[in-house]
Amino acid sequence: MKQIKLIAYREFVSFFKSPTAYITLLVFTLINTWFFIMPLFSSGNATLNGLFYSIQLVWLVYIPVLSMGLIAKERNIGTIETLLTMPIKIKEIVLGKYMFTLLIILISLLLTLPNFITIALLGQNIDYGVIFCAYLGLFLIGSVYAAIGLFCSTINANQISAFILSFVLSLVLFLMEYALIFVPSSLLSFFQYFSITWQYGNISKGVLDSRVIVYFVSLVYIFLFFSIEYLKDRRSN
Amino acid sequence: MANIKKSEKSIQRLLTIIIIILINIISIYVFKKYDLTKNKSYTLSKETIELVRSLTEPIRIKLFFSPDLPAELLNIKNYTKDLLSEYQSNSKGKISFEFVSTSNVEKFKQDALNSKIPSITVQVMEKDKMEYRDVFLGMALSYRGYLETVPVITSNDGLEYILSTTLSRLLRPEKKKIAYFTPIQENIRGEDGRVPLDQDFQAAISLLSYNYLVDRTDLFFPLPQETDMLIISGIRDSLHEAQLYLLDQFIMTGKPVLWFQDRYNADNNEEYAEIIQSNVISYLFDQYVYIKPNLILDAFCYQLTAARNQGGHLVPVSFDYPFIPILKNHNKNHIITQNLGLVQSMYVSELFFNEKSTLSFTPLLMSSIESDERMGKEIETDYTQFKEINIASSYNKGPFVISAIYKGPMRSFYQNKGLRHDDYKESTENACILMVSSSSFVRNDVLSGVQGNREFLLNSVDYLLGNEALIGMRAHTLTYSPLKELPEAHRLWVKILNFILPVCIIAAILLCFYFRRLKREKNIKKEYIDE
Repeated sequence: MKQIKLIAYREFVSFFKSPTAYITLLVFTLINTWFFIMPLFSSGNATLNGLFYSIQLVWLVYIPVLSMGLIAKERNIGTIETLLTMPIKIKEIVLGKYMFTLLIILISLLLTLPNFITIALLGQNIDYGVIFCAYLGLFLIGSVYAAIGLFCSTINANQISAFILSFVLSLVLFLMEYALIFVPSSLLSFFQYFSITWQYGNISKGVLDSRVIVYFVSLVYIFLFFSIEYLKDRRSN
Repeated sequence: MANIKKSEKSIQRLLTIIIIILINIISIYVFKKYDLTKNKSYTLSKETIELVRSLTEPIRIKLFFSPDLPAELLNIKNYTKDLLSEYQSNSKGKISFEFVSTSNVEKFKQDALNSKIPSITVQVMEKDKMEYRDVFLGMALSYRGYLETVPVITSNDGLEYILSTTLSRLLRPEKKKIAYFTPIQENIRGEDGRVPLDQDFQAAISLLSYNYLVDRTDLFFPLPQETDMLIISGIRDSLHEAQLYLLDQFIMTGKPVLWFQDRYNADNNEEYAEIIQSNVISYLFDQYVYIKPNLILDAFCYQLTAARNQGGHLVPVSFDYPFIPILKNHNKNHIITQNLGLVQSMYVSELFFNEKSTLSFTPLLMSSIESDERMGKEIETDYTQFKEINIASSYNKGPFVISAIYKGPMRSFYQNKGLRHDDYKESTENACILMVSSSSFVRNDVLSGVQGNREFLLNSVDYLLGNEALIGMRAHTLTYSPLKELPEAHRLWVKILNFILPVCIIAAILLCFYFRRLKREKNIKKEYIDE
């Protein structure tokens, strides 16, 4: 655990050394705030739905951008070999980098706190349970995209390729819900289960459902597992 | 050796995937849910739990769901299954349900039709083209030989309410009776002696018929004894004296009246609204139910679209039309309006409370603080006057009461007048009138389009007939969170702060890292100089 924290910390510090970090966070916040604040007073509803929807869309690009360089950069500049020969487990490297992405996701969500405070102060009859579940859902979506991003970054030495692959995989999961009309009836339940938007819909209504948690955790586990296995193969080769 | 190791690894990876798939499959059947919503919207309401626990004999529910449902309807099937499982567990086995087998399609269709479940046509994508398909989405409930159905389940929203009211009907087949009065020519009756239905009131009848028996009255004949409630809507001209007398006498029985009464004849195609001169208005005035001769304008209102000439072209432009307020300022302490969403109204007037009255006055719906009034026999309502005005900044006289309940002792209007019958009632201790100052609330198009209006009508009727449990069932799935009213300048500040605050947080992170770096550089320099 100590090693995982150390790697996450190093990634975190180096991320915030670059001006890209601030620009990324700024763009993320401004886009989402725009979608939150613009319809707020005209609708008269104290709701964060606009914000939650825009975050789902922004995640599709934002998280692949965050995660595209995690391993690919190390491979590109050749530091991955050094890292793999160090007395540190591959699992710890992967989990450390993954933890860093989760931290950034958490910070990004925290940056929407002023929007939440606005609703809490100006709204009446606010359902905090629903808001909590929607935030949790967004965090879970983010963590799945981060795992996908990390996996793509592991198997690609080129950051752009990693970004494109990660974006496409995330987009497939996101769009599955909208493509269900093209799916034969017999396979409908199967495809619906894999749709990340459908799963998010189940949690964001305010119900903490073990089925949804199992789905998200499984996806994260699969992508992290294959990232670790890929690096293990690489080390043994 | 290397090959064995490689195949071991492959098996290990395959096993991991299989285990994860198995966990997911098991989790579909063995799961736990925690409802974190404020009203426990996805947990059965206490009214439903009481209902299912009161069952003494088993109820069987047959679910008719076609196997080839499109995606959006598949959600309904899953939700219905989850919901019925909760009914089943709370009823301690008294409720059982089963999906009717679809292996034999013809038999399935026949069973559905025998149970009075109709098919509905949906559009689906099949073989690369859009096709229409007939599907079944209903349920049949049987209890002691009685059969009730939910013919079509169109949405997850309100399904608990539909199911519970269907169960109630099954347990208590007698429905309460509501009479409604809308203006009608004298003595137009069908061959069966009944007053023909009012097509302009059709949407309201459909909504109410689910739980009540609704029949029209022309008030030329006394209402049947078993009538539990009267709804009045859209009176513009004076009533015949005999009609007014029967109306008065119904109120004197202490039974409730839900009354939608306009103060002006108005239409958004007309330039002026004319005040209504009717004996009904005088009647209400005499009973201290006073509808002020004004029209309310509200900055929070419906938008009209009109064509504007721009460079020789007609361009559609939308603008606020304050004579159609959208009401969000409800009485949060009253069960009718507690969880009510936005309610649309047209050409509403203010309800007034006279302190001399013996009646109590409970406001239900109010206009916003940014509202104003216009008075007079004729009021200009032409929309062109609002095209250039910044409405929000000019209105500040609100809120005005639009709907209220008048309750308490009331004397007959005919106390000192000649018109009396043998069974004349002079007064009542518990008159109850729920007044709404516009009949537009129950117009067909408004009821079909605005959920808040539907909820308001149903809640009002359920409340007046003492069926508050029904409101509870309906309300616990509704959460409406309106914004507090803010002046325009404050709204601007809220917008600015929402953009500035996150930027400040990011700047703080930047400064943190900057100072950390400076400190580190300083330390390095210090060490270097020391050395």
